[in-house]
Order: sequence, then structure tokens, then C-alpha cells
Amino acid sequence: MGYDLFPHKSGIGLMEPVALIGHNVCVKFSNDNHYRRVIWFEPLPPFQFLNIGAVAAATTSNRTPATRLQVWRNEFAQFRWYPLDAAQVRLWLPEANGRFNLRNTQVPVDPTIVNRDPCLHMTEFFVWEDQNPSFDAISYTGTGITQCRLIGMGYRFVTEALPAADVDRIRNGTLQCTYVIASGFTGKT
Amino acid sequence: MLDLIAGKRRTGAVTNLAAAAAANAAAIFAVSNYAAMMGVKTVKIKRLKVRNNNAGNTWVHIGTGVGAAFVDLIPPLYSIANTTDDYMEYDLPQVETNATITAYPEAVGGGSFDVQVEVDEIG
Repeated sequence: MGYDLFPHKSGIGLMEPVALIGHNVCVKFSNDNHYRRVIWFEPLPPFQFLNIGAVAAATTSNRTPATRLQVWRNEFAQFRWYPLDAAQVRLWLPEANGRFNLRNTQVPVDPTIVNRDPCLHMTEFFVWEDQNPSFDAISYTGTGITQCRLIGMGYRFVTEALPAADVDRIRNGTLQCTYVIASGFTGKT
Repeated sequence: MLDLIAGKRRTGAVTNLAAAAAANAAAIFAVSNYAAMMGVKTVKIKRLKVRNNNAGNTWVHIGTGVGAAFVDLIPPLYSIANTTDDYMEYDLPQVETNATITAYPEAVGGGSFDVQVEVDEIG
């Protein structure tokens, strides 16, 4: 029986956890595949997780680490987010790897996302342990901004390692597993 | 309708302005800045009431700061003696600030003003 939970899911209503207790997941970070089983989880209500600060008109801020989004060892987190202030914000995960990448551009998120994608499912990303993302802000207004605040929400998952036999079954396609992406991918030429 | 940008509606206290000039600008709404609070709050004025208590016809400034540091958030509002003005969201440019909102009249003529502001606090 397959799970009816998957990354970036947009059902009726807002956000759902990507997995429940007892579900198998594979957290992909860089070249590593972490096959795990969820043993506990909790929601993270909307909170202001980062203020990049003032950004002058027509400039781009430095990449700012969002260390508040770290979780403990053996844990991963699922987040959706949006900016409150007038800037186009890019997500880097980890700091060197952009997310939401096309071959010739990196797609930013700006405050219009709350109208265009009210459930924010297109903004979803995952964090593995302490591998937090960074954000930079493209200040596109003619007057600049005095703060650039980001609101996030999501779930924290505590996991345990899967037995090798279960990992083999997942790889063979005989055991259900939900794959989540916790880092960027630069693409191949 | 779902509005993820909307803040929490709050009101300032009724504040009496008994002295003219920017040097006497009084706080009409204090933005939240408690150190233990997570994040930074900003405010947008959604409604403004100005009662002119026999202070003559004059301008009332709404801004931030006091004295030389006072900066108008919106153009000054002209107040007629012994009237109450009520400005709604449509009348007020939605300027956003993370500073305490202050106000002062250009003259008081022996009277005073009562001002109350309603804001959305965002963040």
C-alpha cells in the first residue's frame, strides 16, 4: 500500500506532513541517500525564521544563513515559506547550491507568492540535520527596504536508520518509501 | 480569504496633543520591539481619528521621531476647529514602518488635539 503523502503536495487546505510515524523516507542530501524510518514528528507553526535586514534599492544582499531552521542529528524538517517584504528572495541549500533552478536562471520567491500559490507548496524544501539553507534578497524597489523578513512553517521529523534488508527492499521496489530532496542540484551540461 | 501577509489589528491609546511643534511630538503607537520576541514587527496605519478641541484650524503631522528627527509618514492633515476627522484605510497611504508612530500639531491656539490610531502590526 502506498502513502498518500508526498513532497510539495497541494490538497484542499494548507500543508500536510510528508510522512507519518512508521513511514520510510529517503532524505537526499548532496550525493548521500539517508534511508530512514520516521519515529516521531511535530508541526512547526508559522514563525519569522530570518530577517536578512536592510537592502538598498537595486542591490542584492549577501547570502544569509538561516540557522534557525537546523534540526538535531537523525532528524529532517519540511518547510514552506514566503517573504513579507518587497524583495525577490533566492534559496540556497546548502549555501553554494541554488534551489528552484532552471538552466539559465534561479527562480526567486517574492511576496506575490501568497496570492499565486496560497498554500505555498511550490516553495517547499527539506533540511537534513544541521544543513540549513541560506537566503539572499534582490531588492528591486526604487527606495530599498529596511527589513527583509521570511516566514516559514512546516514539520520536524525524528528518524532512525533502516535495516539493510529494508533498504534493499526499497531499492528493489518492494517496500514503500518517500524520497525528499534536502539540497540543490546544479544540473548537468 | 486567506491573507498570509496580513498582520494583527491593534490600536494605540487616545493621546492628547497639547503642545505644538515637532519638538513636542508624542507617541501615538509604540511598535513591538521586545528583545525576547522572535522577528521584527512593522506597522501600517489603517485608521486614524483626530479630534480638534478648540485648537483653531491647523495642520496635524503623523510620522516617526521627535524634534529634528521627526519624519512625516503621510502628508499633514488639516484639522478644523471643534471637529472630529476619521480617516479610513482608503484615505491613508499604506506606508510601513518599524518605528514608533508620533504626531504633533502645528498650533494649538489654547486648545489641544486627541488622536487615536489603528494599525496592522505585521511580522
